[in-house]
Amino acid sequence: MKTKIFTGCAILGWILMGALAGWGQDKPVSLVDSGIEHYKAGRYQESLRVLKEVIRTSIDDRELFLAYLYTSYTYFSLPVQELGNAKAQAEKAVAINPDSVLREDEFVSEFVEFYKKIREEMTGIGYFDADPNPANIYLDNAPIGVAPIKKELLAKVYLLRAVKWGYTPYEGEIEIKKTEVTNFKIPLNDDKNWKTFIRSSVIFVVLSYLMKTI
Amino acid sequence: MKKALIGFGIVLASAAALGAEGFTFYTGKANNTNYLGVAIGGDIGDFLQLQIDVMKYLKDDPSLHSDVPELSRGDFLGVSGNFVLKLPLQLIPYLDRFDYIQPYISVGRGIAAENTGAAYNDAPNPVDGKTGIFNKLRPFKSFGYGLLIMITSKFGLKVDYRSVNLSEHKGLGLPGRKFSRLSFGICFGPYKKEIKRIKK
Repeated sequence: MKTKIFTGCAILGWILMGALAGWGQDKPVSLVDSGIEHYKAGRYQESLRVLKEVIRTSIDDRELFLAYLYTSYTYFSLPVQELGNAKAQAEKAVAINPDSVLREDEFVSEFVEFYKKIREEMTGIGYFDADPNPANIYLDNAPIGVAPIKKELLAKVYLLRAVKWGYTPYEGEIEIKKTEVTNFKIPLNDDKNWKTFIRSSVIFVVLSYLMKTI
Repeated sequence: MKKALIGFGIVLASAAALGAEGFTFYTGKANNTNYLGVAIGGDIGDFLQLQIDVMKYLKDDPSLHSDVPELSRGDFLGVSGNFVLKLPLQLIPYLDRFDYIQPYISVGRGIAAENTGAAYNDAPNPVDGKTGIFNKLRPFKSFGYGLLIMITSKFGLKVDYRSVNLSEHKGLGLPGRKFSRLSFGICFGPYKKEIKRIKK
């Protein structure tokens, strides 16, 4: 009995020690984090080298966004500013995440303004209101939220799809225009829905009865 | 019989007035023989369609065929008006992308000739002694269900099952009979609204 208790305690202790050892370890640093660290340490050229490697190899939108953003920030922060490059990289960051807002505690205020101006030049605001609300809104097959919803989006043409239980999904092209706010009223009630299905079903049953087929 | 013909005329006129759309060409197997058919349908409500259906056996049903032309009833040339109720998958949660699959049920009434030959139609009926094709036609009811799968926005495939109940014909002294049919068809006709495009 004592042997069993001792063995049990030993196994439990081993597991706990393993867990505690793991607790103390730092998470592995990703390449994009490493690039950001280089930037923060003032090693701009090294930062650019690492972030460009992320851009070349990554397929993750979050990583790509950060890589473009910090590449832009690095070009902006060089002793001799490279504003053309900074703008090109910021545009790519906005294309990935159009409604991103930079915080002044993370970036210098000049860059926050610089980025905001680029974002405003590339985006517009869409206000989506379904009749009836709520309805799931998809743009180019990607969900953006539930109507009614206001969303900052890249200025371009999208395929809008609004989906609501009991209603025929609405599909149509919309255009978001630069620096403009556009309202989109989505008329789900105009198409076939559960109410018209019940009406058709009742008519069908009545017709079947009159025709003596049921 | 006159009532059935008048009813059928009304159904046809209604279909024409509604600008019936949606053609289906189908073929299949009834109890003992093959057949061909065509259906034309148009929406009369959001999920309700009126359909005119014509079908004909490709060869005589052996169980009803007779070598005596006056007695052979192995053919079937039927015309029917059907109401079709489409069951909307796209309104059901998580199935909104499946609007190209359209299950339906249908009920209908029609008339059929069991032999279109002159020998059969000119022979007097055994009970009422009448002659002529209009006195040989048999009313029938049908009930069916099926599945329409639209491959493109204007072209689809259809599988259809129908149970056909021929009424008793007192003049001919024939009891009612029943058969079922399974058909496969191709159909044409828009199944949903075109996406509104932005003109550039």
